[in-house]
Amino acid sequence: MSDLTPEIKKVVEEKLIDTPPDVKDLFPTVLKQKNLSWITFRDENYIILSFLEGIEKDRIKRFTSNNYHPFPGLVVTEKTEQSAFHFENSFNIYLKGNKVRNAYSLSLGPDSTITLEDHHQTIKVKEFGNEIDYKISLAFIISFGEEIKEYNFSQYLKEIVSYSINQWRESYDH
Amino acid sequence: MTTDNSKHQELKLLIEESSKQKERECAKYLEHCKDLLVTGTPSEFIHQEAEYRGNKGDSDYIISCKTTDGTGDETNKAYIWELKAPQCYLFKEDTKQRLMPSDDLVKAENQLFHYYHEYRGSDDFKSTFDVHTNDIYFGGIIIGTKERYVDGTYKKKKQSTMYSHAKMIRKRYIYRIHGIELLTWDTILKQLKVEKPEMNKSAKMEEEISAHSGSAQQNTDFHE
Repeated sequence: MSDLTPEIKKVVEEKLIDTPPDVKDLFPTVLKQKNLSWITFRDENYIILSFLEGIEKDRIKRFTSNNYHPFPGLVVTEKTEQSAFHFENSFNIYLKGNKVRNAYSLSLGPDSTITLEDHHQTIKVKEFGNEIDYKISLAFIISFGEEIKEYNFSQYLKEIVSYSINQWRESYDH
Repeated sequence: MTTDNSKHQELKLLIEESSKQKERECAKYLEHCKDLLVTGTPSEFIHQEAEYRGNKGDSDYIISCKTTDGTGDETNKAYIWELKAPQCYLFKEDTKQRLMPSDDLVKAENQLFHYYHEYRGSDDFKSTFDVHTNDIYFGGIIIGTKERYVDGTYKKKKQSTMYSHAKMIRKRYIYRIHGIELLTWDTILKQLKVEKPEMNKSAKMEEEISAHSGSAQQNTDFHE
């Protein structure tokens, strides 16, 4: 796997950090923090870029230091009825304010780009012996496939980020 | 948030029209995805114009916007875009092992370079778009669709590999240096889509999952 961090950082800085204050007012609260924190998780199938608020940052540090997935139950790459949403070859999907309990949030096939905003996940986890719940303030999720490859990944990230910004601008206008 | 999908449907019809070159009609939809056509995130879009008249010809689409840098200083920037129809190809066969840009792509590149050069010296342009000489940028080229990446007789898999290679070469040695984007009309279409996916509310699992990712290869990076 190539290191895509520099490309992700470039898009995040250009589109989401180096922005005028009046535009930031339109963005979700997590992006208005003075010191913005984010995490990227990737495997061979997909990448999650998630922006973090205080309590979530601590949880994720705890999980990743134990080699756990930072977002258990959020994504499954098999098609299953045990997931709240299924996407494949689906671009610029915008999901906001969903609460998923005891199911996977996303059954994620190839070539998809998704924005999650204010997403809540509750799921039973073996290692903890009980349910955990966590919130994703804002995340961009991109799955690889025939169309989205490592070499053109940043173009698709730019597209889903631009699409989301347009949604935020329109929400404000309306 | 709008739920009106009509613009998406209209552009889709124009793209699927096989017999006519429809770039002028398609240009009307660019105003709905302006954030994709500029670098960064501007505070305001100042002016956009299709078919801007220059001495060397009409430039297809120009958009200007107000940006703010880290110190709070405001700058206006203009981006020049050249459009070719969704019905155009991006590349064509050169040899069995190599593609070359289509005539339409070469024409678009040539027009883009000429217009850029002209507008940097044009007081009329700078006044219309309220920019200084050094704040005029290449936007890029919008041409074809993913169905028309290559006009060739290769097998599908080989064609896909050759397209990726040809595009990478062009980007690396020409486009990236000048900040030129190469987009297809599918990309614009995707920006217009308004979709509200329904949640599968009957999804339920009784068993516990493992907190481990189950992936052999994984990587986590923190940025603070």
